[in-house]
Amino acid sequence: MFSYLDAGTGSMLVSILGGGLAGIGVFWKMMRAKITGKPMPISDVDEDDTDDSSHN
Amino acid sequence: MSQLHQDSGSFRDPLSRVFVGNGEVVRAFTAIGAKDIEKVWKKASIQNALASGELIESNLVSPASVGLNDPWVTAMTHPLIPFISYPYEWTFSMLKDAAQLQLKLTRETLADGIGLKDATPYNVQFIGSRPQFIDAGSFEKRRKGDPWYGYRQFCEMYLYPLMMQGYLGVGFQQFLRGSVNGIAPDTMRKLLPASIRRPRKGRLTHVVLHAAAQNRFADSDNNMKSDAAKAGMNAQVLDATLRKLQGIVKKISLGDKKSTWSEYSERGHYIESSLDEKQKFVRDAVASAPRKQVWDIGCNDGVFSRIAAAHSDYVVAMDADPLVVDRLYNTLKAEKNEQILPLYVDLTDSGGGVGWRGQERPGVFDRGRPDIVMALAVIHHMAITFHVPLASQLDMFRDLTPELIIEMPHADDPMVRKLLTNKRDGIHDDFTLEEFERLLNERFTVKSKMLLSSGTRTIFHAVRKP
Repeated sequence: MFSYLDAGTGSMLVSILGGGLAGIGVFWKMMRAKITGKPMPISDVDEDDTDDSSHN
Repeated sequence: MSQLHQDSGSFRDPLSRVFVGNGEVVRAFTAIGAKDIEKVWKKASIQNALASGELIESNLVSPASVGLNDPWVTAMTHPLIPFISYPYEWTFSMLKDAAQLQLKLTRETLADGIGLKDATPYNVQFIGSRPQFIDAGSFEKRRKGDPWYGYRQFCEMYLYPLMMQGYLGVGFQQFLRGSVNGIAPDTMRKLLPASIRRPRKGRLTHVVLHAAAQNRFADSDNNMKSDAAKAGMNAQVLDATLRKLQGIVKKISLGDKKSTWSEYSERGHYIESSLDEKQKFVRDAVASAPRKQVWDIGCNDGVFSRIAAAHSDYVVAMDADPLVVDRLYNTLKAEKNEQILPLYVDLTDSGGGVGWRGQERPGVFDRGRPDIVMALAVIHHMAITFHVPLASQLDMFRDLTPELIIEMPHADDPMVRKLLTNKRDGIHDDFTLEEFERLLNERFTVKSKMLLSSGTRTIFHAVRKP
């Protein structure tokens, strides 16, 4: 289950950009995939995800 | 049988609900909500927040032990907040401190793999001058690639109101009272122009770009969350955003603002003996019985709130001037005072309930009952400036409180004459001590009264008639 709030596409993008340099790389990859229409490769930067739930 | 009743403002998060009763607050969790809580509750960041008091005291209990059954599988109890207040009753400094607490907790828990579901100031309450996060149900395990779900809400309910006051000098309270959802990005963009003379930190990204992105992607059905995860969205990116927002919030300031009452006190007109007499009268009246809660209406700099606090458990200090209340808040905060809650409340426009069915956030009179109310140097303003008849004011006090300390300036009082200066002759001829006493005696029994040395004001201690 995710948060009950909808992060909102536009708000989510800006929240990424709001992180400055840290966010610009993420933002650029997302925009490049959108412009080129190519599927985005999975990022090398991975997060620990130990969630064992199946409800997402 | 359970004595609990569900809080009228608790319904947005489907995974938990808040109940009140038996002298405590109970937060109950569904099976999914319970799973979230179990995953995060033992984490160091949560335990640190509990130990510091930044997060409300919480005790995990079985729902059955507090009288709750299906669908609740876990519950926690919290102490009652002495008086629930809402962001539109806070001052700039209060909202700013609440915002900083929200960001601090969000960052600290993020480092522990926890996400906050939302970012609303309704999840913060003040214990006197100390902000405290009260929504233990906001925490959940953060999943891979999760964005900060509360970002938009933080902007709408914290950042934009602070910008409005700090950058534009416009009080945010009327906007937050007008909408429980705060100020939308597009509205803020229209309200907040660029300024070369005084750069408005955070405006370009969090207002202009935010509004444009919302408009651009309003109809988007892209799975942006999935895209963001693939592009490397992680806790470090979110932390950078939160850190930068902390910097923006920290720099928004009220400046050196003045208001009608921030530079002026009616006490300036008292001869010293009058003030001493009045303080003694108030002290004797408040101390004449044990008091759980005192309301000081028209508190100004809080001199009488402090006298009341010495003889009661808790004081709610209200004034219709937000700058005056802001100064009082900062003074109390410097003292770490947790016994006096300063609030911006204009009784002539205090509003009823707001939000869903007008009950989500009840009006100020529905959130507490004082044992005694102090209305010192206030009724002439309501009567002459706002045309609220004395009889109606006394009806309100009769409905509100069993005991009243009230100051009545006479028709020849300098402040009354000042307020009447530009009024049409004759329309306030009934504003007399005799008429006031007649109306008061219809509703209350006067226990004591005193003519102040100035000779133009009388103060009463009265008890409501059965």
